[in-house]
Amino acid sequence: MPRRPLGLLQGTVDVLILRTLAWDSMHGYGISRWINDRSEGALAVEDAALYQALHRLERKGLVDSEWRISEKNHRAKYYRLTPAGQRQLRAEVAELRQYMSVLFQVLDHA
Amino acid sequence: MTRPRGTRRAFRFPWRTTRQVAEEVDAELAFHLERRTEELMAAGLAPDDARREAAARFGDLEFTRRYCRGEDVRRERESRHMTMLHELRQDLGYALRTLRSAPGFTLVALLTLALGIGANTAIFSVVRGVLLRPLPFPAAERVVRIWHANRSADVARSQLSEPDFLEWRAASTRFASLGAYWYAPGGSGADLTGLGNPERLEGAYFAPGFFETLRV
Repeated sequence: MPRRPLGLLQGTVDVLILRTLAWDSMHGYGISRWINDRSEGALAVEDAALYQALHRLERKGLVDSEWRISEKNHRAKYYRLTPAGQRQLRAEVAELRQYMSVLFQVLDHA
Repeated sequence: MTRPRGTRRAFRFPWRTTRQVAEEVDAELAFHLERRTEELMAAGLAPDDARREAAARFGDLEFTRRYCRGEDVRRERESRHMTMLHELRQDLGYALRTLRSAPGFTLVALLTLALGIGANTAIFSVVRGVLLRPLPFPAAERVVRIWHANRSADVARSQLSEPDFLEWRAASTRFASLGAYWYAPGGSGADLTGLGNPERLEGAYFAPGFFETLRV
């Protein structure tokens, strides 16, 4: 059941991409579909922002890219997580979890 | 790199030119738009509508293109620098190992270099002191010499008359101070007469303020 699209929190595109690539290496379009499917449409990452983030992450050395020929014989740029990217993913997830926990501590406080 | 099932590796050159970077970015974005168009067509849209919708959904395509190219170009440059640095370090290590393994040769080479550098330094110091010696005035780099030119006679350095000099000094805004002198061997001077044969005394005439200009 498709969910209502939520606005994407600032700065979460990067961690979403890293998590997606931790699952499997894929091209930009694949990443977009994966996030959309996993969140049942709730997380709508703008394609432009996605590609900007991908290239930025590659420059920072958190992901690597390689041109491959897909099953349907199309030339596509596949991305994969680097060891540095794996470390960054773990760190960012932990930070987000902590942030959310503290945030809700404050919000839920009667 | 663990490959997704069903994909083959495509060939890739080590260093990319700016144009190659641009082409790759364009190809990547084009691939995305094609797949999105296919997806929308599968959902029932007509081909033209699907293409338009795919472009609309993408966001700012031109900005993304420029941004991605910029990031990639910067990455190439950083990568190239890292490689050069790494290779330099390797070469230095190799050179040191080679020198250490041939101590006799190393000693001779070092002595030759030492002698060569030492001799050159000595010669240059002498030349500098004798030929290239700076003027012995304070703030010597600010001292300049100016001549009066006679354009119609095509003379670059002509005589300067006293009234002209006084005029220059009064009107000058570029110079902190102006001084003038006259020296002509055999011309400026005095004749000493009296007992014995007359003798020519060499001399020079200085306008007031000359020594102040030089700050001596």
